Amino acid sequence: MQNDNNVKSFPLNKRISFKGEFKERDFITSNIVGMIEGKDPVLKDSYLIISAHYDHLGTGPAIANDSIYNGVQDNAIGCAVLLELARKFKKSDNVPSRSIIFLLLTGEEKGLLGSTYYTENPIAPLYKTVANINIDGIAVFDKFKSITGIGIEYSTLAKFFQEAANSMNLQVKSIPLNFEYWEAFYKSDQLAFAKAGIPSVITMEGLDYDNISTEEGLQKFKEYGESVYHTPFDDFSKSINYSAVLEHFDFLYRFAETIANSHETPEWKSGSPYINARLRSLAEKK
Amino acid sequence: MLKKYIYTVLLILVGCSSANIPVAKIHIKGSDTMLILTELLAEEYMKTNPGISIYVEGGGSASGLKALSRGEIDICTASRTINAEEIKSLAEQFGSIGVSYIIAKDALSIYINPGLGKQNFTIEEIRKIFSGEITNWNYFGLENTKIIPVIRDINSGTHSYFKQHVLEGKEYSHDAITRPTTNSIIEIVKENKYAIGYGGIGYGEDIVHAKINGVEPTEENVNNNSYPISRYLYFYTVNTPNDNVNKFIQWVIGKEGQQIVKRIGYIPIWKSSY
Repeated sequence: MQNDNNVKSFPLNKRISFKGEFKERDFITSNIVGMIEGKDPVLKDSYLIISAHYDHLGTGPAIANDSIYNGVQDNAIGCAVLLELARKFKKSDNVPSRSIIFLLLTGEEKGLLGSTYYTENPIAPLYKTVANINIDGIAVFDKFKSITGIGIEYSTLAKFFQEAANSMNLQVKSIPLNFEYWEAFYKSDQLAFAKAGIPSVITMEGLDYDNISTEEGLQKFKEYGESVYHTPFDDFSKSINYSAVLEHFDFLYRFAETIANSHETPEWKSGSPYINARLRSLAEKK
Repeated sequence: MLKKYIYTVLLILVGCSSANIPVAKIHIKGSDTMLILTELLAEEYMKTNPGISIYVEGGGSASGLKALSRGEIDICTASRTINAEEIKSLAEQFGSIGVSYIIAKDALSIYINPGLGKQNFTIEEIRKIFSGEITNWNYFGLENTKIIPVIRDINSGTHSYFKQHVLEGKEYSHDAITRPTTNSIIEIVKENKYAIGYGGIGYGEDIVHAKINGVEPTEENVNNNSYPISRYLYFYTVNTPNDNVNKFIQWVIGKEGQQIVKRIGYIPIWKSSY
């Protein structure tokens, strides 16, 4: 393992054999979708998707006699924020120009299954879907002074993101060096939307907090990654700073509002790995 | 009668529907080295040609040529010439030996820091450095300092090309640092006097493009074949392609396509001011 977290290949002079039993289980699970129709007669035929996955790991190997993997931060909290966003946008004064699709996704933990299914069976044409804001985790440590959009550099979503950040006096920061960038963008449903040509982004707080230092924030991320993430301990026993949650919610609302009320359509930047999927979807009108 | 009338009206409506305007799809597969180039060519072409939908896939030249012989794609991209076995396969399937188009020339520079104190290497020296046989700059009479080879990641066509043509199939040094882009290789070489990397000849400021066997990596030296780390890049089709595919290929080898070839660090096929 190198410092950059890439495993280098090397020849193995050993034979390894493995015998195991695999059980396959078919089951049906659903995405849950709702939509607020935009108020502009023209722009309402274009769509912003706000998504959050609602699945977690279910039950699994017991750790300290606990085999229920609750998934409070991954991603019940994201679902709660999505529902709250829907409630706020639904209020008549807040109905935006474009339509907003609220999408609770299944099967994220099994390989972005729900989002991939959606892009193959969309309720609105993909080429008319202008952007995706994916929510997978919310700031819970402390109120923050900076915000990060993972994936914004690929598209003109960066402009909308900056606008929303300015409205809250938040600095826009790149993903901290301590985080593995590729994993961050590849790890949740925003990737499936990007692959389908829809400019997408996932947001996280920057590491500049009101009451804790950057190092303390990093340490909290580290502890979460090592001891809580994908364990039975991602539950209500972990402290949640609701002021931080509210701040992140507020940012997401403003960001979505900026996109949904703009006549400008977000676009991939030239050379982005996802621009050709967009151009194909426009050519094929699908 | 009414039924017949409705049926006729429906037919006319369906026939006039904008959804029925044919979309031309072009499927391309092959060289990983050429993937970024082909993606960018496809992007620019689609932007100016609405109704054309281009699918580009890597997988390697060999897999592209297989897909071509199975009739799965319109164009195969290849960073080498087609071999006898592949020609045979095309001939058996389609009665054709294929049509090739040279679309660009590719050359790799060896990047070094301006402060290194050595700017000329033989191919053999480069091979030994990147395969880990030479590990210290004192081998060249320079400081007693470890060499830091910086290489592209395993998914990169450049990684494979360099391994195949410069290392002659040898493994890269275990001490090599892997980076995902040419720019990130350049950054390391720029910041570290003892690093050595590689990438396209069109890239890189504030670094030195080393001479190989005394020859500078310039467009001119690549074109006259005196610079050793270079090759042609090809498109292959089964036969003379259909109108849409042909228009795309002509655009690629024309002015606009060759400007893109140059923009991303390859060498255009025409000697001009592209």
